[in-house]
Amino acid sequence: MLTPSLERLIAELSRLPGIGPRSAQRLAFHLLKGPRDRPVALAEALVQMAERLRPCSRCFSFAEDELCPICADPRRDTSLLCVVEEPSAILPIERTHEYRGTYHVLGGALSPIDGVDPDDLRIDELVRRVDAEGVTEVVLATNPTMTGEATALYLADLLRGRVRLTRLASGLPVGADLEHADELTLGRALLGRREL
Amino acid sequence: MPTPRVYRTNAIVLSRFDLGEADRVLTILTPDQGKLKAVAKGVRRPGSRIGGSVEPFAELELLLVRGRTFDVITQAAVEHAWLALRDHLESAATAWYLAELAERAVEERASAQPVYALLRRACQLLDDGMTPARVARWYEMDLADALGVRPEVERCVECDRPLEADERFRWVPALGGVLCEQHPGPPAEVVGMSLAALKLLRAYRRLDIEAIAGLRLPPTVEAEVEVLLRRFMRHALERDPRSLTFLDEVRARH
Ligand SMILES: [Zn+2]
Ligand SMILES: [Zn+2]
Repeated sequence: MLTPSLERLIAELSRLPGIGPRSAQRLAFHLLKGPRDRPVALAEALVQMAERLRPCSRCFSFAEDELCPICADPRRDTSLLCVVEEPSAILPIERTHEYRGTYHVLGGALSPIDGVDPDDLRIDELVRRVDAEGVTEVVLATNPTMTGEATALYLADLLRGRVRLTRLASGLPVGADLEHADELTLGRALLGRREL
Repeated sequence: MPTPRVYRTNAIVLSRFDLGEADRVLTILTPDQGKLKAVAKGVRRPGSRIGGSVEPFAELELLLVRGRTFDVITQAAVEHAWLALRDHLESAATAWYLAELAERAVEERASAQPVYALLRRACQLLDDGMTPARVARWYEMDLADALGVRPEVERCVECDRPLEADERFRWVPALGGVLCEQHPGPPAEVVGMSLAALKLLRAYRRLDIEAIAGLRLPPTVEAEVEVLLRRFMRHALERDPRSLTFLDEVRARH
């Protein structure tokens, strides 16, 4: 019924997260309806991304050169290092404009039950950077999940005594009512309460 | 009796994986339905009503709706949070190991009351700060019991003769416990063991964990019993749990 090229496009689109076969069809037809250069521009963007993007040799975030834009920026404070699970966590931290240090992407979190052990993450690379780059504070910004917490504890054990270690505070979402908070979040918030 | 379309259950999250953009599929242990997979929708977004709750190592009360592939979690409340367990790496690594043993031991959609109660208590004890290795040994012994393969440590597994203090004992997981010196046993699976280790195994069998926690034990005997029980669990569950690699590494550094 459909042509082979259209079938192929729909098949590729439906592999994206949150896109089922029906939405894939809708997207494909939408691309066909507009001007010809739109799908071409999209295709070029995809090809460029696939060809140019590689891990930053220092922090393992996305880069197009040897270093990512953050590592290449001389104004960033290299004595402050923020450890995240995935590159996707960097963007929200950057948007806060509260952080002027650099990053280190682990590539996941420890999950022993799934067989993700320290060797599977970029932990050796982290330790080497801490020693080599004059880092004085490591901010452990792994996710506030069981796996993220365990990863933070593991790294803290490894780095204790060499640098100042901090962990992102976890607690109540800003703007939320206390009565709607779940007990784990509230319990965490109580443990992490601070002096005013 | 078939489960109704909407049902309520207590549950402990054993493991989980991300699905799509913001969902998570959880493997949960429940008292009446053993382990099952359930989806928690939108939980990876901040501000999700159930997001913070559905993490491993908390006892939850869940409201679920039956689904085609996975049941769907519509409400979640935390009964016990076990927050201290998460702040101590060896306790957390031990809890993971115990959860993996439970996951291996329990069937999907089949009653698992004893295992559920066991894991729940183990998490509580780890949260209270009890020595993780003792909690683990006690758990392994009782889990074997729940699986119907409790190790025999009083009599010879071959001739049923009570074991005497002055003989040589051998540990044979394939036969279900201790062999007296009169039988050769299957050569590849026979491990020598000390009288002290036999006594400690008996203590784990006879005493409650609170009593065991108070015992003063030589580290060598504890280490020996650990090896013996691991071999036993490996035999009962047919392979080594994956989480042991991490637990061993954490312990090696302390
Ligand atoms: Zn970089
Ligand atoms: Zn015998």
